[in-house]
Amino acid sequence: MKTVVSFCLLWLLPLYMWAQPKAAITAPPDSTKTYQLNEIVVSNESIDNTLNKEDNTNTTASVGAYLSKIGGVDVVQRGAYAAEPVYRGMAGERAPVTINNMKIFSACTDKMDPVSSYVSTNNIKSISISKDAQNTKMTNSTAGTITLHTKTPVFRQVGSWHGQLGAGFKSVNNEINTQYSLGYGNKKFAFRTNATFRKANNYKSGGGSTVNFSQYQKNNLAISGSYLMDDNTLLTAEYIFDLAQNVGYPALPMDVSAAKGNIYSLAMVQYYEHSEVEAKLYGSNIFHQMDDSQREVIMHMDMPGWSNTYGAYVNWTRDFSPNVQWNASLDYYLSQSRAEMTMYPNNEIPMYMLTWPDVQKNDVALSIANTLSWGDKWEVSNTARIELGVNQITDPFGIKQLEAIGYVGISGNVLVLPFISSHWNVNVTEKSKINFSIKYSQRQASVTEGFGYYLFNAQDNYDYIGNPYLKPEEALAVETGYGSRLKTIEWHLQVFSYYMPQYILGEYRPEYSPMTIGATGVKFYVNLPWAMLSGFEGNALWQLTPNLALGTRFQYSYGVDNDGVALPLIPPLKNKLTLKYTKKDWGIGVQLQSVTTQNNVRYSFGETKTPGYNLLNAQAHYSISLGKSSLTFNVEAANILDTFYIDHLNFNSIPGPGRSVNFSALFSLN
Amino acid sequence: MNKLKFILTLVVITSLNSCKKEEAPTPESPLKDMALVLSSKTNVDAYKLDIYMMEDPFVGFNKIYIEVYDSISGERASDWNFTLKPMMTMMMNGTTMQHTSPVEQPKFSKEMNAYEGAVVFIMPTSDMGVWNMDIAFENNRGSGTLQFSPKVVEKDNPALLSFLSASNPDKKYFVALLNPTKPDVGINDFEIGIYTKESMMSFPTVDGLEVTIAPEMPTMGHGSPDNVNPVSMGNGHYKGSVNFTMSGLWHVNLTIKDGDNMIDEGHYFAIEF
Repeated sequence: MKTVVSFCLLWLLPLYMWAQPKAAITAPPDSTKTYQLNEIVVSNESIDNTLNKEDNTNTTASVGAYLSKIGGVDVVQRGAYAAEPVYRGMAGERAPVTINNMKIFSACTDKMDPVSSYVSTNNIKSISISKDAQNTKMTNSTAGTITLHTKTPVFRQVGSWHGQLGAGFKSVNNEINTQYSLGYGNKKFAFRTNATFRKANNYKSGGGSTVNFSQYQKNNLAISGSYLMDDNTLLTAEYIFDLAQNVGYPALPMDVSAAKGNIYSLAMVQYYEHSEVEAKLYGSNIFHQMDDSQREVIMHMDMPGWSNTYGAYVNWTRDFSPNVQWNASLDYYLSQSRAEMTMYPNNEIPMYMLTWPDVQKNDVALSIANTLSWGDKWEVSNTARIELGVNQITDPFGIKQLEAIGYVGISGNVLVLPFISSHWNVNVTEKSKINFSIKYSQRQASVTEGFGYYLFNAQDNYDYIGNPYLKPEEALAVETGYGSRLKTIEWHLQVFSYYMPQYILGEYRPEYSPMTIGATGVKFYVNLPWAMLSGFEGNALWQLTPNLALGTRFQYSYGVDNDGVALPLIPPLKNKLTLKYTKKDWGIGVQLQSVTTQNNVRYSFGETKTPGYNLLNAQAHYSISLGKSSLTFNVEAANILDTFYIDHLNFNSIPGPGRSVNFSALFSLN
Repeated sequence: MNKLKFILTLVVITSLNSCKKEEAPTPESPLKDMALVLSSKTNVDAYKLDIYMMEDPFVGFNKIYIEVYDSISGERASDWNFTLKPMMTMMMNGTTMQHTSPVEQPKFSKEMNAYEGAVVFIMPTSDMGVWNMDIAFENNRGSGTLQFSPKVVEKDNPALLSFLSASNPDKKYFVALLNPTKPDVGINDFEIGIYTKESMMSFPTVDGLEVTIAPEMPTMGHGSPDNVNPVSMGNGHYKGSVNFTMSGLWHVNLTIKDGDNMIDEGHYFAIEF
């Protein structure tokens, strides 16, 4: 029972953290020791978790809803399904997503399947963002690596079963969600499986208009097992299957008939007295089939995409003393991305091209990190990482295609990408702390940026062509934060700035004619001399009475290029004000979400000024304890005033959902 | 080790043998994948002529290869002179009309080990008209003429354009597509031949025109970048390059000018792959 509680508590754990390095060694998975993880909770994020506690236990919410509860995170919506996370205004390769530190790449050229879409909410244990130091298993990126940690099998002193059964309904799109999880654990062996089925119709925007092509259906299954070979050796195997079907994308000219993911891994952790070695082998096979058969188009087309990734890493952690920890990892992966487009005109032979020309990437990286502390006051973490990426086009058709647009003799490229960072935490007093970090990072271009071929962007109405000559995008980032915890008030503010030489963005080339019918023109990815992105995020919690809390969470980013023109898809100032009353078995809350007008827009990216909006939401939950089991009901009224709104990050200005009453019930057997 | 030596020796012997064999007429011929349209003895010693074409005769630019070899020794001859004379004979309303077509007289090609020439058939064989091809040959030991009747077909995507000059309606032009013969995505050599009609019996080449190309996918309405306009290479040939960014049906639109005088615009070659 306690063990399960502790694993549930993992949910409440910091989503990014000051103190995480100290907890990197979690010790052998002895059930009693998992409690020590709770010590980490001293973080600004714990405030959010206090406020979001009930929401986070509602596993019928979407992964996008989970993601957007993290400070600094926003999502790009192209429909009701598969929100793409944006961290501080950065997405894609700037803020890559991994699942349990496994590198995975989307198979859709139109970003319809961000990596986070291949996991279901009831399988997510926690989400972390590795921005600078602290995680040698990350990827070189500008903003940070977003890692989805899935739930792990739970060992128990006495073998027993546990599980959950849940169902949910959303009125705005008649979404039904059914799910279960089932686990068994004893001292040596633990096993877990969970599955989710979600099906939704078109949603209605505020005011009641139907947003066509916003339906979806999703099946997700996960199975994992752990075996404790001896007291110091843990084996874990994990498998995830995901199948999304009939997914509409109102922001795009095409939908998806099927997106299928198979993700699997085998990991071994060896624990020593003061150190730990983790080795993992993993793979993922993603197939994505776009579909325009429901749309009125001049000509139907097939656009399948494949993304296969195979990788392995070894991570070594050692405590040399209570104040000195070192960390090293060697990481390799091979990824293959291919996307095709076939068009079927009447009375003509089909037209065909490779939109991703079968790009094979071999990538190897070595990371070294340390964490040093002096007393309780000072702590510093340093990370150095070097990554070698070799890209090759493996289909001769792809090489010839690139020749046709002027890239003669290009069959790939080689990049060496450095990363170095230092992160300082200072406990000024027992109740206040400061952090400071500085990092320099280079990230490689995505397959689309490097080798994409006439990929249509529905937002700006241009075809995009990749550029194999792109230099790595650089980032020099500094940030600092201050937080304090008083008797009834705690708050935190984090301020950041990124200077990004060689910023990668599309540039119009009038001499090229677009391939897509109706497109305005062709853009090539280029390195801008530089771009700059700054902002802040913060939160505060005021515990008015032991049961009543008032909280706020806000975030803002401002980005410009070297000409002073705004960067695209940058979220405006957002604030969430929450009032929550919580008793032992029940709680109610109201939330006001305020978003300001975004005037800093990039017209050349098809953006226009987006008016601000306010949304009013309310939630209530009630739990009944039934001995070893419990029953929890959640009810939520979202967008109570049925406000019509368009979020600046909603692709192609699709409106957000209107009023919705959402129910869920969750039966848990501990 | 000895074994290796033995194998190496074998390889050397084999390759020597194959060198000798190259002089024999058939198997190693670079023409062996082409269509043999005529194989005939001649009245000169024991010499034989084999006539090949790249594919079945069509309306457009047809390459013709003539292999000359001694049927006894297999030795090839390279000092003969050939004259091709294509002739279309038409029966119209009881009267017979004849005309020839543009032709490139065969010259010996060391690369092909054969005589290489071309004929531009300007219309297909039909009920009303048939093509006859005279192949006259001579060398210092004799001369003669062979004849065959090619059955010329029109391709689905025509490989020959004909039109009257926009600035001189009395002047008829023929433009034949020479390359790409195997179109593919990417950069393709683009070569055309331009001819005019002086009389029924004379179709000379035209050099020095200004040709502009604009490829387009008609269904999509888009073109492709970085094409190189064909320039006059002499002998009626114009060479450039065309880029196809994807597979499917392409139109290569042509604009042809003679100095400031427009000859034609709006005609195109349809190319699909």
